[in-house]
Amino acid sequence: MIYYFLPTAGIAGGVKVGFQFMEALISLGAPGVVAIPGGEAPQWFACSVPVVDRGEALERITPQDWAFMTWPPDLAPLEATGARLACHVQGVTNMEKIFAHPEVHLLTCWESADRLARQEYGRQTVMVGICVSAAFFAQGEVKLDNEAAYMPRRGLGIATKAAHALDMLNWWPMDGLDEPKVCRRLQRAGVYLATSVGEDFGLPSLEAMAAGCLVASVPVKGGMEYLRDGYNCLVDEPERLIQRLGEMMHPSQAGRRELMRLRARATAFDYHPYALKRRLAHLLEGPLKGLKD
Amino acid sequence: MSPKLLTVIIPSLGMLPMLEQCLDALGRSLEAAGVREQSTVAVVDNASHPPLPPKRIAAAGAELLRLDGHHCFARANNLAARRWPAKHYLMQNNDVLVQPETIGEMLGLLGRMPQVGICGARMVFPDGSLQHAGVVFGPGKKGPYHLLRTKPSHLMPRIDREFQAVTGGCMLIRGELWQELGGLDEDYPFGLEDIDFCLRARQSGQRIFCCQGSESLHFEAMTPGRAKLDSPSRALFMSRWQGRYTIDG
Repeated sequence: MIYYFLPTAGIAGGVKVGFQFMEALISLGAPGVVAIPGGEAPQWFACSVPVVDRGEALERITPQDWAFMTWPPDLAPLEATGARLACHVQGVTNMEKIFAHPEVHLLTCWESADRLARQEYGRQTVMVGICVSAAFFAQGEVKLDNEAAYMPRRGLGIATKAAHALDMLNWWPMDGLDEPKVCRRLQRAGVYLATSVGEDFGLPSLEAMAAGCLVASVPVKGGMEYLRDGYNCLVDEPERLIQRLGEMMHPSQAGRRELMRLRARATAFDYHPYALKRRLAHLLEGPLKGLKD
Repeated sequence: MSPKLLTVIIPSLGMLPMLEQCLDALGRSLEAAGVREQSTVAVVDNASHPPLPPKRIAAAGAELLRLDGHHCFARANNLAARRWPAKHYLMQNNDVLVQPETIGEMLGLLGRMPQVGICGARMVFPDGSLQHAGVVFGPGKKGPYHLLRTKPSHLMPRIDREFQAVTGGCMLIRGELWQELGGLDEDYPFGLEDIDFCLRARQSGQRIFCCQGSESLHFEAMTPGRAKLDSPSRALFMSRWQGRYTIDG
C-alpha cells in the first residue's frame, strides 16, 4: 500500500498535485492513502482520496509498503520506517539529499526536475507528469477580454507595475480561494499574469490555459515545457513582459489573442486528468509495477 | 466447518409483511446468482413486539436471531455476523426488494476486482426515481449525501463506479474486511454507521464500488422511530469525520 505523506492540507499547489496523483493511482488499482497531521483532509478542491493521520501512518507502515514524500524534510522520518521510498518530485529546491539518496525512487512531475536528477545526479527517474483538474477546462463561459487575474502571493510588485501600466484591464487578485472560486475567476478572465520569477512549480499557468486565458508569464523553472512563447502564451522578463502584454491587448490584436487562447486550451488538454491516468496506466505495467503490490 | 460464501443480514423491527416480501425477492436473487445453498439469510429481530414468528421466517428460508432488548442497528448486524461467519456479508434493509440480478452482479464485481472490499447497489424509489447510486461528500456541514437522489433513474448514468461510500441499505462486504475493521461501530444509534465503515475501509486501502447494472427497490426509512435517531447519529458522524474526508460532491 502507498502512504503519501504531506505536511498540510492547506491551500498549496503541491498538496493538490499530490492528491491528484494519488487519485489516479488508486483508480488504477494501486491501493493508497494520503497521510497528513491530524488526518486533516483538504476541503478546497474536489477529490476522493482517503486521508489518515500522519502519526498513525508512521506507526502502521511496514517494509512492504511504499512511503511517498514530496516535501524534502520528510526524508529522514520516512527513511526510519524501513518502507520502500519514493519521492514525487514537484520542485527542485532543497532536493539534493533526496536526489542523492540511492534508495529513493524518483517520480518526476516536470521536465526540469527530471533533467536535473538525471544529468546532475545520474539518477534513473520515472516521469509521471501532472494534471489540471477537469473543472478548469473552459466550457463556453462568457470571457471578459479586459479582465486579468493574478496571484499576489509571489511577485506582487510585478503585478502592481502591470496594473499601473495596463490600466485598461481590470485586475483581479486570487489568493486563499478554493478551487471552485479560482475556476470561476479564471474562466471569466481573458488574461492571466504569472508573476513568480523562477517558480519551481507552474501549475497555475496551466490551469489558466485550461480555462482559456491568455497567459503572460515571467520565466519559471517548473512548467516551461508547456509555455511556448508567442505560440500559446507570452513568456518574458517582467519589464518586457508587461510591454508585450500591452501590445497584445491592443484592439487590433484581438485575433491573435483568441488564437493564443485556443492554442493554450489545446496544450492544456495534454494535461487533462484522463491523460495522466493513461500515462500512469502505462507506467503501472512497467516501471511502476511495484506500486500495485 | 468452513464458513459459507455469504451471510445476508437483515435487521427488522416488526414490519413482517414487508420483511416477507424482502425475503422472497432476496431468495430469487440468491437463486439467480446460483449461491442459494452457499448462503445464510439471517433475520435479526431487534426486539419486535410481538416477536417475529419463527415459523414464518423459517418458511421464507431464513435463520432468526431474536434480540429481546432493542439494540442499535450496528450491534444487530455485528451479532448476526458473529453468529454466522462468512466470506462475504450482505447488509440489507428489510424495506429493500433486490432484483434477481443484483446479488450476482455484486458478487461478480468483488470477484473481478480483488482490491474492492465493498460493493453497493443502485436502488430506486417506487416512483422510479433514484434512491441510491453512490454516496459523495459535500463541503462544510453538508457532509455525505446520495448522489443524484430523486433524479429519474432511467436518465442517469449506469456505469459501475468508485465512491468513497455506499449505503448500507444493500451493501456487500468482504468477510476479511469486516473482521479487520471489527464490524460496524456500535456508537451510532441508527444511521451513518455504514458510511463510517466505508471511510474506515478506504483508510485501510480498500476500494468501494457501486453496481449500477440493476436497480433494486428501496422504500427507505420505514422503521418506526428512525427519524429521531438520525440526528444524534449525524452529530456523532460529523464530530468524528468532518474535515477528515475529501470533498467530491
